[in-house]
Amino acid sequence: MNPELRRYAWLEMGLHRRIAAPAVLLLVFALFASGGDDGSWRERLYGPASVLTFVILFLWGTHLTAESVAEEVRERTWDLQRLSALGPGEMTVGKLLGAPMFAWYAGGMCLATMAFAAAALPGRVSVGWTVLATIAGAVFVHATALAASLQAVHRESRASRRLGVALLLLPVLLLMWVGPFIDRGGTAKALSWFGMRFERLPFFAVSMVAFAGWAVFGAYRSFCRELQVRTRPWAWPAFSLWVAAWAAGLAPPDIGFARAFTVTGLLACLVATYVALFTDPTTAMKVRRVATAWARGDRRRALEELPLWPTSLAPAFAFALAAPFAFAGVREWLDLPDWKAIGDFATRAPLALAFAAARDGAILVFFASAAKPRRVEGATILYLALLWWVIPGLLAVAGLASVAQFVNPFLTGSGTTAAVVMGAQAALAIGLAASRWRGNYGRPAPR
Amino acid sequence: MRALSGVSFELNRGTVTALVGPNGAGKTTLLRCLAGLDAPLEGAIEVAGIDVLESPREAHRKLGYLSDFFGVYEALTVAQCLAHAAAMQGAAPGRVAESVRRTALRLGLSDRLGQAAGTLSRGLRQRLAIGQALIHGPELLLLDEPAAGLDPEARHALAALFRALQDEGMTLVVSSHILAELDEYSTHMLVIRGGEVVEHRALEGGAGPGERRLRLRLAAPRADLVATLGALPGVRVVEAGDREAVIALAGDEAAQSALLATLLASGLPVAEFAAERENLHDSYLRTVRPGEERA
Repeated sequence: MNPELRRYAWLEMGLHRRIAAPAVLLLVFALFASGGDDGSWRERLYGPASVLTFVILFLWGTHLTAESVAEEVRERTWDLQRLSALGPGEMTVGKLLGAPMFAWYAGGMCLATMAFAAAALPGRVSVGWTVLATIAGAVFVHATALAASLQAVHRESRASRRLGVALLLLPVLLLMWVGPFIDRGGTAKALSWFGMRFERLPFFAVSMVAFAGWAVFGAYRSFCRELQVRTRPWAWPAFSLWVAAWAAGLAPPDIGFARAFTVTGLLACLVATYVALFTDPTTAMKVRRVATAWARGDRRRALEELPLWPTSLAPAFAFALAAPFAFAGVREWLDLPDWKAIGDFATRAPLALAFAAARDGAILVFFASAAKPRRVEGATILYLALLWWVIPGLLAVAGLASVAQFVNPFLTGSGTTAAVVMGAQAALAIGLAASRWRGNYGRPAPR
Repeated sequence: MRALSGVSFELNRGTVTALVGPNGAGKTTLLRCLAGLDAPLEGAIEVAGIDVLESPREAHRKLGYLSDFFGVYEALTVAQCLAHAAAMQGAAPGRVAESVRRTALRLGLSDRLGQAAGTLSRGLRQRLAIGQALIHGPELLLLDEPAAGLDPEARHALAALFRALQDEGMTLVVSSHILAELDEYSTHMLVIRGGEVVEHRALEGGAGPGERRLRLRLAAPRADLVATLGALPGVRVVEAGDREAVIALAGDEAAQSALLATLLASGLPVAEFAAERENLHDSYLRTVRPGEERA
């Protein structure tokens, strides 16, 4: 048996809890089944069972999983875990299934009750697909919480706690997504994916399984980093491309896959870049590890040490450069009067967006390269807000709109201008970050 | 600024190395790098033939590490803590119970196996943490301030444990500020200062490989003491006066016994003749003092 699973079984599955959980749930369900006069007793269980499944499995289970690593750090047992001979795969399974073990035990009973009740609601939901979507959704949020918790393990404890709270919102968003599928009649509605017709609920359930698989793989890769197991940085951009391909499949077929994939690819890679920028710590020492490995010709090691955000920024640039070609025939389906200006913006703005992400990454490296870096992410967010909104807004209010366009060139409406100005800003930010890093960390170490 | 720079050394199997240096010297960083918990910017670390940086998980089967700020799973019993540690290090399921029994016996925790770890005293928690670090029988045991917070009796027991582990062939690296405690069991001294290794040597002082360092004291002065000792085969005079001498003898205890017989036969009034271990405290101060003077 996986040692971590066994440890959680010792901690979470004592005899008292094993007996108390079903007893309490039985009482709650008996209360709901006996009260009210709408539908049969079995139908009346559906609502409370759904809510309890959500609360126990999604909210509480996610909280337990997110806290599992933070608690190890707090209790100073994290080094003991990192010193084990278990591989990242075993650790992922142990933590992912172990930490929310009791939530699965109690939530599983609620889910079974929900399925039992749903079977009495003819034509409303497909029980099998709903159960699959719920289980996959729970695995998805648990694994995401575990990965995020591992990413935050070296951050200040307050930030970790905030992250945990933020992650608790994720299941809520998920439910908002799930809701329409069920309330609209589930299997009755269909959608098109790459021109193929799928019923909504099965499509959602299978998609959730795939997303859960990626989330588990993400947790595995986060464990690899914590356990000093070296990996090459293909997973993050691969996930971004998968999301882009999945989303492109939902686009109207007459747009064409290439165009849809260019747009979703650019957006997915940009979002992935910003997510990585603020979750995967980019430190001056990390930059130094990359630079040192690169300088001695060890390209593999340099790639292994690379922070995540450049790995999704690179394909973002590829999509941005491909955009003019993908949108070359855009007039055929985009029937707008002022095509030149919009076409120019549509083909050049992607490059400006990619430059903007590069600039913002360089700003973070600039703050991370301080002699005594503190609150790097916070300072970066402040300066990004200044550059994107505050300064341009103040300049515009002061009647200096032409100057504001040099700060936020997207205000010009010209894609070419935006690309040129944002490219210059990116070059300046990279130059400043490189200069500061060299000054504080780039000196040869004494021998 | 680097925590460690240009650090390079080898540890012989079955030695106990005292890792000493001032606060902030890089001792903990060095131990964490050796344990594969932190990766150095450059360089290589090998433990029992395994590259720690390339294969940290394999290396962990060969080493144990006790952090200076360790924790134990407080809600688990002592037996569960030890069983969990053994399983985490890849012990076969059928051997876990025996490993727990043997480790508990060695650490004096046999009568505490059913007690929750969170209810143990500081000294017992320390013992449990050490038990977790060595339950899988590592070849290299790294200990960062293992005796911090222990009472004298517990420290003495710890020293006895380290000597027993050394006798079994285990290699130990022990970091501590309490040099007198290290003196009880260390065979080597690794001095680190400012992230650099200042000195790494055996604690036999003037004795070389295969030699024993011996102190001889006479009941009355003899002017020919140095000449007499110098003429003996296998004897090298390290320092000598007319009444006392420190010599390095090539050979084992039998050679030492034979030398004593020779000295008595030659008419020297031997009052004391014993193996001498170098005082770690003095050695450390001798090593760092030139640096302090430079500073």
